[in-house]
Amino acid sequence: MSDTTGQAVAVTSVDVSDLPDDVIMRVNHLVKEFPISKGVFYRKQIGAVKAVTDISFEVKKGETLGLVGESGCGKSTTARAVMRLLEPTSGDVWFRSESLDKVVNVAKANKEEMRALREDIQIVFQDPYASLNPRMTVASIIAEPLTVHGALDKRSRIDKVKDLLKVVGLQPEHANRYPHEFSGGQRQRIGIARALALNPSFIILDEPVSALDVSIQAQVLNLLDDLQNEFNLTYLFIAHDLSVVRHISDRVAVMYLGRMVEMADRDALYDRPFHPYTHALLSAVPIPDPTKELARERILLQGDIPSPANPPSGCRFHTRCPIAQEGKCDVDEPQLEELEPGHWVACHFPEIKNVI
Amino acid sequence: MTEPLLKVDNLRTYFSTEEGVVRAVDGISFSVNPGERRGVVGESGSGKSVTAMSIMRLIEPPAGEIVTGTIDFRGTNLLELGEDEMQSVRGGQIAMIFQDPMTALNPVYTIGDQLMETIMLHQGVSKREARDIAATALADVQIPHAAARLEDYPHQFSGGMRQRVMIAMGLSCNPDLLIADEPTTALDVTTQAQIMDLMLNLAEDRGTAVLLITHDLGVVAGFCDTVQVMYAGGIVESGTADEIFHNPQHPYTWGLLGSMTRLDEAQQIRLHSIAGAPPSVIDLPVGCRFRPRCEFAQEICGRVLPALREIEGRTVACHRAAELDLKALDVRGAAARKSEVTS
Repeated sequence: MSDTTGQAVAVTSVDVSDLPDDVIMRVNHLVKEFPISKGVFYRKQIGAVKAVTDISFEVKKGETLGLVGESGCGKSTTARAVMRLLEPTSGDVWFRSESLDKVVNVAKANKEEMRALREDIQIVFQDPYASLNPRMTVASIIAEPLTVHGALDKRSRIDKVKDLLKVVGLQPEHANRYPHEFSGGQRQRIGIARALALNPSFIILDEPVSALDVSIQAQVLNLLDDLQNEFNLTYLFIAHDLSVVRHISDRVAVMYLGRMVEMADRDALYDRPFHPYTHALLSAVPIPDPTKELARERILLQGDIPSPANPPSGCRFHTRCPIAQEGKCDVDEPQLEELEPGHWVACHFPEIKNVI
Repeated sequence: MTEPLLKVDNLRTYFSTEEGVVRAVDGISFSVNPGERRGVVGESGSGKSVTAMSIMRLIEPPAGEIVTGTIDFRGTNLLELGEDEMQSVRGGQIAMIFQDPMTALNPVYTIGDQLMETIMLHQGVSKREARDIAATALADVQIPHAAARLEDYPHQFSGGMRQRVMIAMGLSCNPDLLIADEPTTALDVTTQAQIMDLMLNLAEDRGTAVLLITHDLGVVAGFCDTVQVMYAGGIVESGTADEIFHNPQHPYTWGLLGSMTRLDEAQQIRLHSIAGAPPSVIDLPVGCRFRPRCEFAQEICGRVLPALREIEGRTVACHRAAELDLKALDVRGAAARKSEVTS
């Protein structure tokens, strides 16, 4: 099905013993496609939405990797596929599991391994209204992972819930209330407490502050910062807001239409971006300063993002790229290359441009 | 001194609910001059959208009611107009763009039908002429093959394109005032940049005044001449964009700017956080509405609701605005200062 597997990409080695000590997760050639079917009685696959095409990256222990891009770029699919909430179409996700005390391929783990991995890898969702069951009390929401995994007896579970509430800045007395009694920010704290219940080492944060007002956003971001320090957590932070990502991330990866186009240390990506899509994306983000806004130049992209069911040939960005060259960009798909130490770019004509 | 285009005075819009009376907008006054681009910023529940709905007279009794106040538009109090007269103001002299273009457009009519309806209603032209005007309006918002796309239905347009259609519809009758309520909130950031750029150019070319309602201070910084900050149904501060962003006088504005993550901020500093959450507009605190979250609150703040007063050329509703030197206080806290010293 996939026409891109087997191509050379940044990280080629898949050997387990090769996983350096400071790396907690290595994603190799990850592909996720959703079939498009037709017919009522004889369902026939007539195509596929190529949500994620051949993505490879590493996450270092204790760091925050920000994954940014616009809607439909595949960032949430990537997040779900690396923890197997979605079954990857192909590719490997090597993960250093604390509970199993070894490196496991999440993409191919068996049922028992998967159960253990669920303790190591947790997720916090975007919408704190949809991700908390309205019929459950806060205590039972937070204790559910403990119950499912048979950790602790009932009395210890209650103590643990109260501890967790305190850790995320809520009152232990809140345990017996229901989600509707809380504001958006407080609900997101409950979601975070639930994610922390099994002492995970790796947390996927899928747009955790996008639904929150600015003043509440700051509270939750500060909390995530504190928790990372306190519990030595590794974050995979998915967001469309590039300001938030700059604030929280150590390294940042930019995705466009299922592909990774650029990945670098935070300041390198923001101050010295190479890829024309990163340029456009960064230049589009407004800065709350009228003087700076007046002086900035916006790179306005033409048209809309193409359909991932039928992505453009060659470089997927070439249809909207201001510097695309015919005969090259519409034919050859550029691969990620390390242009500076730790700075990976997939572009035939990379050029540093300061757009902030 | 130019006569303001729109002058809102002591507007109060309340909603009655089972839990009690929601004082969504509670005694606000402001004005918009011809050609002025004014930002109305605030968090959810601050009353910014209800302000817009009140100006357009889209508040439906008995649920909601404009309790007091006047809304003077070019010398006429809109609140005294009959529904027929208001109908010709709406869309004709004041147009409005909503956040979600999909729900604002009717899915069973073509884009052309919907544009032409507005044009025929307000300009009294024939169907043929209306079609020409509609095609021009679509071309003005940079929709390719404008004339042909009049035949298309809303679902055949992308989110950004639909918002362009809404702008075309809003500007098709050359209104004096355009109210844009979170026009880019549902859009991706590169599409947002396209739409804001388009609105800026069209408004400047035609001299249209714009009331931009948004929670995004960044969008305001690039678009607006003046800004009013709303909190819990009231205006806490208003002034030129430069003053508000560079020298905020109200602790809420100051805290809000400090709690924003910024694209241009290299060092990872701790964000300023405003404690707690906005109050319920059913059960507003006595005195200053920001007092429960304000780190500078004093005894008087818990008793008396501060009025908007003029300080250093802008208006601020804070008892302590004159004595507080917020500019001297580094909102980003000690962490930021430390890294400045070391760098």
